[in-house]
Amino acid sequence: MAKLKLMRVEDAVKRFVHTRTSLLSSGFPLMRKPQIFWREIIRQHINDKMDLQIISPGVGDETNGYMVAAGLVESVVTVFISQERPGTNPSLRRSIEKGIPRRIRIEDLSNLAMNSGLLAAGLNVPFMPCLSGRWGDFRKPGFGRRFNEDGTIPVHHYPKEPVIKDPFGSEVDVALIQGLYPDVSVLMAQASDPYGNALVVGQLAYDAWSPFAARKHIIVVADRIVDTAACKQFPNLTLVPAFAVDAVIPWYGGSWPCNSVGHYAEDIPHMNETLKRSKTPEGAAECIQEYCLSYKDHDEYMEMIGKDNMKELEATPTKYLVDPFREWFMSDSEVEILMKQAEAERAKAEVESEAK
Amino acid sequence: MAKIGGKKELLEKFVQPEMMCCACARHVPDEAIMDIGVGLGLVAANLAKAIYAPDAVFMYESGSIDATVVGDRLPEGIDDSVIQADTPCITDLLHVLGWATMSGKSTHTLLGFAQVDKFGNLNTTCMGNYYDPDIRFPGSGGAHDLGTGAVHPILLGPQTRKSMVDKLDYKTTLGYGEDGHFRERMWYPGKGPMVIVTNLGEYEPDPDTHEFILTGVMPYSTVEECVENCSWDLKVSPDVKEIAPPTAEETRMLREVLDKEGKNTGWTKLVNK
Repeated sequence: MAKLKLMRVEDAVKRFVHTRTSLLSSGFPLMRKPQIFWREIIRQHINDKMDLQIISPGVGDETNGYMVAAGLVESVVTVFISQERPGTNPSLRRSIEKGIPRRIRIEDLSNLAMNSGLLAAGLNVPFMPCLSGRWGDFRKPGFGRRFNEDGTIPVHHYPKEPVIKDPFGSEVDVALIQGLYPDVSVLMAQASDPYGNALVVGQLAYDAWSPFAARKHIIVVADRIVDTAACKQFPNLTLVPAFAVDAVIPWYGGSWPCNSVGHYAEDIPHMNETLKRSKTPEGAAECIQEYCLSYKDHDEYMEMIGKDNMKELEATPTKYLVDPFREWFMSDSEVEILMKQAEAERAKAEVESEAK
Repeated sequence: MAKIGGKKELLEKFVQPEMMCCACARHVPDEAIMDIGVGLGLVAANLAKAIYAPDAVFMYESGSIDATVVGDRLPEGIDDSVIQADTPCITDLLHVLGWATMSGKSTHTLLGFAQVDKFGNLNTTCMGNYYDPDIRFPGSGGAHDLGTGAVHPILLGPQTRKSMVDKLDYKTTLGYGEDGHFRERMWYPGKGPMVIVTNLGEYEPDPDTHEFILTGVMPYSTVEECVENCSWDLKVSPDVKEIAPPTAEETRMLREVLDKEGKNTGWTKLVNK
């Protein structure tokens, strides 16, 4: 019988995020990022030394910036530290250039190289050949092991992107991109059933493969929970199958201020505002207080976004993309009933497991 | 050589980024299949499609192919919702960058730079030591991949002695390599950059050495200004020409349709003086 995977965000962070966890985010700088998950990490660990690693094509978004500003991040593997036209994240720059509050280690890849590394991990092979990466300074030594046995940080030592000739005789040279294995991959989805069949519409960017690179856990944050019939109606849009998912976090608006096409557009004024305020450490700290620590629950989170603001964002021309699923949306009360059932089932399983 | 350029008074009619957009757009052919990024290149690409290349197909590496922009603003990013609302094909990055770009199907792209050297290699990553940089830029994104695979990249960026350099602080994107001949030693789907467009001039690669030489001067600039603002020993083509200023149609399209608020080109500074 299928297992209910519904989990509250605070519970998911407690279970899956620990010191030195490496975390991969779905999405792209303006798109479908599980921001609510990062906000919860900040809420629970703002005063802790976490040494987290973020793996993401764009780490310049609001909450990744806050995580760096709060000193929670030890390293990033990325291709871009900008939020595109709104601008480069000042918290990332301050850390990399000045070591404030701490100097994060950064490993740069190109988009295709990073996606190739995640593909390798998903296919469980040690590397993926690629035509990118055969020239240039991406080949400067990378992280290798994140930490030594004794917990110290190794210097950059391992060769990145070695180049070999096709062993099958075509004479083509290829770079080898090492498999990129995060501990936990967090996928923002427009909808999911309560068991983890996650529906994604719109651009996929890396996400045809990013969930599957996870070494330990795949987590889904979903704007809406749907009956499984929705997934069966459009099975090609089910990006991740239920059996592979460890948790489904229902949180409408969880991608804000990034877009979740079909539901809401990107909140560019908010991005502009927080990037501007984050130009100083004090400004970043104020933003963390206001946008990560101030809300108590989902209702207050939505008030933080602003009801009128959200209405404007919801008047997106992409609205039609989610229309086919609307008849299967579960209500908040239905989801809450299933959430409590999921929690009871997990508690029972944990008791039985401890008893063995 | 006849005197060309030097018409500084033209800068009361248009701003330099507008000129760069127009100069770039004129290089895009109608049959182009183009990888599109953000920034001024996005404006230039849309200007090209509006006037010179209506049948060009745009690909955004995050997945939208042949999207029509919905609404009255340009995308703020390649994953903006306005390019996910009216598009016949949405896929993933591996298909756009891995398949289309690396198989030579992407005919053109527009790449911005913080630094460029004389062989069209680009830096968009950092100034100073990579492990302890003085300035950290956004990073490659897909630029390295587009430079690798797109058949004819168009490069655009600011021109100063600090941006047109002998040696890059970080080698992000391949032009023709350190000696101008790297692409001949390894097979590449992309042929190498076709032109560099700056706010002062246009530069094209010598067919033998692939060293970029001055081939066009913006109407408000001069050959001397281009040479002075380049750190390498810049060669000048004997046929160097003056680039035509923005046409009435180009100006109308930029100011009334594509960049109404001047967020990308800054043209509103002329009006707000």
